[in-house]
Parts: sequence; C-alpha cells; structure tokens
Amino acid sequence: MTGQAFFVLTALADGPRHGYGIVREVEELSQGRVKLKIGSLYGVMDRLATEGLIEPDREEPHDGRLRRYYRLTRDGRRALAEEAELRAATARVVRARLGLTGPAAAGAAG
Amino acid sequence: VSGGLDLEQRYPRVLWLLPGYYRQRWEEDMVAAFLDSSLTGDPDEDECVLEFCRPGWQEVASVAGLAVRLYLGTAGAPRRYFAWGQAVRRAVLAVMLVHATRRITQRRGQAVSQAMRAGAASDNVCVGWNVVSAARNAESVFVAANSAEVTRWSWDVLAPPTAPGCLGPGRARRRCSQRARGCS
Repeated sequence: MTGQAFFVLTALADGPRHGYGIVREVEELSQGRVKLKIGSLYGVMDRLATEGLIEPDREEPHDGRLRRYYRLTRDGRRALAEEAELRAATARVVRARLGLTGPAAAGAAG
Repeated sequence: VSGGLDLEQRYPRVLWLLPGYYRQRWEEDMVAAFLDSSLTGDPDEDECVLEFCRPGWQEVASVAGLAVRLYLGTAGAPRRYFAWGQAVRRAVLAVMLVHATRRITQRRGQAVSQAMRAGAASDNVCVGWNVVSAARNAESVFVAANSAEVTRWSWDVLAPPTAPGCLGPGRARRRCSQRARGCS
C-alpha cells in the first residue's frame, strides 16, 4: 500500500468524506507533509474503489454542485488495520535498531 | 480578458487529458473537489477566482501523470487500455534489449581488440560486466515505463506549493491578484 493510499484510507476511518475533505484531512494527518493534488487524489481513489476498499456513501448539494462522499468498506477497514499494524511493527524495529527504545535510550537521552 | 471561460469550465478542459471511461466516472467529483480547493467562500473573491484564475501547473501535472498511468493500463482499466499499456511496455523493453545487445557487441569487440593488443585474457571479465550493466539499464527503463507513479512522485516532490494562477493582464488582473488570495 502506498503512503498516499494509507493516508486516504486513514482520512476515511472516522467517517465518510468528500474529495476536498479528504485532501484537507490528509494534510492535517500528515502535519502538512502530504498535500494531495486533485489528480493524485482521484488516481488513488480510483485504485481503492477498484480494489473494493472504499465506496460511495451519499451525495449532498453544495453551491449548486453535488459533493459525493466516500466511506471505507469492511475490506478497507481491515486493510487499513493490517497496514497500520505492519507500519507500527516496522517502526518498532527501526527504533530498536537505532537504540531509541528501552532504558539505555532513556539514559542516553538524559 | 478571461477568454470567455470561467474556472469551472477551464478545469474540465484539463481533464480532457484523461481517458473517456475515467472522465465519465470521476469528472464531476474532480471538478467539485477542485473548485472546493480553489474557492474561499467570500462571494467577491470567488467571483474573481472563477473569472480570472486557471488551474495551477501542479494540478495540470497531477492530471497529466494520472493520464499517463491510465493510458498505460492500470488495474481496473478497460481491456483496450490494458492492451495498449502492455504494447507500450513491450515496445520499450524490446528497444532497450536491442540497444543493450548492440552495446554488448560493440564493447565485446573493443575488449577483444584490446586484449589481443595487450596480450591479456581479459575478455571474459569485460563481457560479463557489460551483460550485467546492460541488463540493469533495461530493467530500470522497463520499471519506469511500467510505473507512472514515478512521474507523479516527481511532480509532487519537485513542485513548490502554489494555487491556481491568474490569467488576465492589466487592472482586472491586479484587482484579482489582490482580492483572490488563491491566485498568485
């Protein structure tokens, strides 16, 4: 799973969002590091929809246009949980190898 | 000044880069999301943005990158695009293999000549190295052709943060530049 796909799924984890809502949420989640362009966003969303990880939720009129909201599917939620676990495990290994965990690291930091 | 089109009409023109099946599926969403990202909610500013602004080059680049990936046939693409993408990938691979073979032959000839001149038996070592090198080159290009992610990644990384740009010259443009904060 790419970083962008991971962020898009995470943005939808707590409820449905429309396209620009996802862009803003991803920027906030990534603390400004990931700023999705619309072309990039819908490239990712098309892949996720094709894989059955997201699906349309509802449409709402806004300023004369329709905003389409998307939500995670059950498979999407499962894929996100697995990816989060994988990334967390990887991060633990990296921190251990860098000596950033445990009493030794705390002592060194102090 | 604005060419008779407003931003809501200009952005769909950029989307013409995308395959028809994809536009049919996502165009409405993409236009709505793009306008949401461009408009401020202030009626005066939004009027300026709609009239004088056009999609920024980063937005255009992201759509162009997506178009390349789609035309090369990604998962979920219609059979026609997938077949086209396969043909392009195979053509690139074939060209690279021909090029690599030609270079190997040239280098081998040079190595043999040098070895004969020097009286050393270095031929096998040189040829072996060249085979590995050429194979790596071919593989790199094949992977690049296979993955438009590279293009999108490059645009995302290299592009400075900007918003849509203003079109019209003169007073109207200055007015728009001052009022439409998204246009710079």
